[in-house]
Amino acid sequence: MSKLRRNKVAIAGDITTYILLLLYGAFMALPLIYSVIQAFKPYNELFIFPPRFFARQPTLANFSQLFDLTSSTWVPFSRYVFNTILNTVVGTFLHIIAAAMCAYPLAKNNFPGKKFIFNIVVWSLLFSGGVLEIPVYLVMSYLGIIDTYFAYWLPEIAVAMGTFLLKQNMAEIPDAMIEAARIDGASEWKILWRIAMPAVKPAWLTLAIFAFQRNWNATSSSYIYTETIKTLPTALSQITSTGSVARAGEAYAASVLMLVPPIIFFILAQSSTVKTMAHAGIKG
Amino acid sequence: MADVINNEAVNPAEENKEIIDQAEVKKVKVKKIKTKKDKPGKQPKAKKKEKRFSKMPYEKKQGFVGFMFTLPWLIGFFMFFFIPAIKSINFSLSDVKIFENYATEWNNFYNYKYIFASGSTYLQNLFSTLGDLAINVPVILIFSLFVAVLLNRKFIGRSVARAVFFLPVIVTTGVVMTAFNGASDTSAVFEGDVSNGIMFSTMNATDVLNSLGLSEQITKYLILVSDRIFDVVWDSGIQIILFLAALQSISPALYEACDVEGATAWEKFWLITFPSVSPIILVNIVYTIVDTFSDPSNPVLAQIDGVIKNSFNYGVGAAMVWVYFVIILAIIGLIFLICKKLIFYSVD
Repeated sequence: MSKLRRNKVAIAGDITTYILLLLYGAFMALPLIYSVIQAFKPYNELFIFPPRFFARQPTLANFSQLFDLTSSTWVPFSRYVFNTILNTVVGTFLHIIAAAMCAYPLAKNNFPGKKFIFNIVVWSLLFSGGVLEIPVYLVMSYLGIIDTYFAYWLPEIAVAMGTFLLKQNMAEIPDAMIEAARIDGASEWKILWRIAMPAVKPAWLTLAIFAFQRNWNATSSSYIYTETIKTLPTALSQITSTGSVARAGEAYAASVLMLVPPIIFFILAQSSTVKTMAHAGIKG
Repeated sequence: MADVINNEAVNPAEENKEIIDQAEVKKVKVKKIKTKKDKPGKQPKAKKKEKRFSKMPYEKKQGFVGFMFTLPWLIGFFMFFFIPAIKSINFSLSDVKIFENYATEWNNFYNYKYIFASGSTYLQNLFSTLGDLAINVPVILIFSLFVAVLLNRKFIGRSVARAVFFLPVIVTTGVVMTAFNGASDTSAVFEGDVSNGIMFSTMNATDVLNSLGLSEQITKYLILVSDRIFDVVWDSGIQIILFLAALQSISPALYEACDVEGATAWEKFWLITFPSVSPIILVNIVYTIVDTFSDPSNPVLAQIDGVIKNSFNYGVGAAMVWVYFVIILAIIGLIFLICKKLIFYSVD
């Protein structure tokens, strides 16, 4: 009897979940779906008023025109793609490694100045990067990394969000687990990568998602002049902006293409976070 | 037993040497900048250091290694944050002149006086940003926790649903927005892209509501509300993900115990879920505040951007940044103080 009731409650819960998620999901997804559809609209449908949701004559013309444009660039287009992929991989790795290395002792070690360092992390969270652009330029030119790949990579080390997030999560790891490893003779380095990091895998995968996201979309800011080390977003916005309104269709196509890799990475990372928790070894 | 521990303790020391050596190399590279920070005792030759290191008590050794681990981040922080920040303070206190190089000249707090002068729009912008914040933070927090709990349930199509809620993060930081910030020509198109979507939804809604025979005022009100919901939903992508990560790390054993004891879902939420995610609530509060404050479209930052990039007034721009920063700092400090008492750490 009670089992039956429980089932009913569960079903009701599922239905409510679906309905609510559909409702909120609609708010999230509709504008996006709309802009994806825009990419498939022929030019004469793009600027109709009132706008229509669906394309009457869907076409791939925007995409093929975009590829025509990309094949005519001065620097081979694959170079931009390579730059962005390289930046994304290196930037994401550097960010996670530096963040993990800093977060672990802040959470699980004792040394003088620990609190102070954590406070630094929190303070620097509060600063919007853009407003320091000019002084950062001065420092970079002093280091001689202006107009090199390092101008993309090195600032990734100093992103505070990762350190903060990982520290908060690592604080949740039972001290007993770390102690056990220490007694067994594991070095701190080993404990960090073999015990602490697997235990907070959802956290650093989340971090990886953010970092991927940030680096994938990084434009070549004022620190980069050489065309051959500029990134894909910069190239795409250059290509599509030269004709402004006339290139609107290509601009939509470009933005849709740029969306795909982060979404795929997100889905992959999310599905593996669910799996990992089963054998992460944390039990209250 | 003591012997065993001693032997064991030597091994990590050997390994750590490598790490320290690496760290040392990095240290040398940035020595010019942070000479004052280096402690004299830790610098001398390798052999001496090894001796000192192996003599250290175990606890201290651990702490030392820990400190070494934080170095990469700290060095990054000094180069890309601390030094720029000091330069920026210097700018804010001076009259910045730019030729081929740049020169600064102390100008007796003129920049600060200027932004607080009666004719300035800075304060107005500041208050409107703060007002937004007061509404956004609680609403976004509650909403994102709610959605995260929903998304954490087992149902078919869960990962797709999660992706949908993450989409705004991808879009708002993606090409759409970079193009919006960068090339001015495309900006119209790209901006139209997102706001068209919004316009589209509100426009249709207006039509639908009007055709239902609702009075204009109710329609207006409903649309205002739905726009607000829209803002909230779009701004809570990262918070949802953070909550999800926290929810996933709650041990299922706790819930099983609850089931055995016959707890209701309501009790489970408040007694297990809520305390377990409370550290992440703090993270999310901070994140939401920082996100709202550092959103380039917020009035203060837009003004600062204009001052720096259009009128090249670095001094005034820097002063605005610092006033802004101090205010954020005060707010976050207050929240930390309040949350300190409310957060539950399962490990203590």
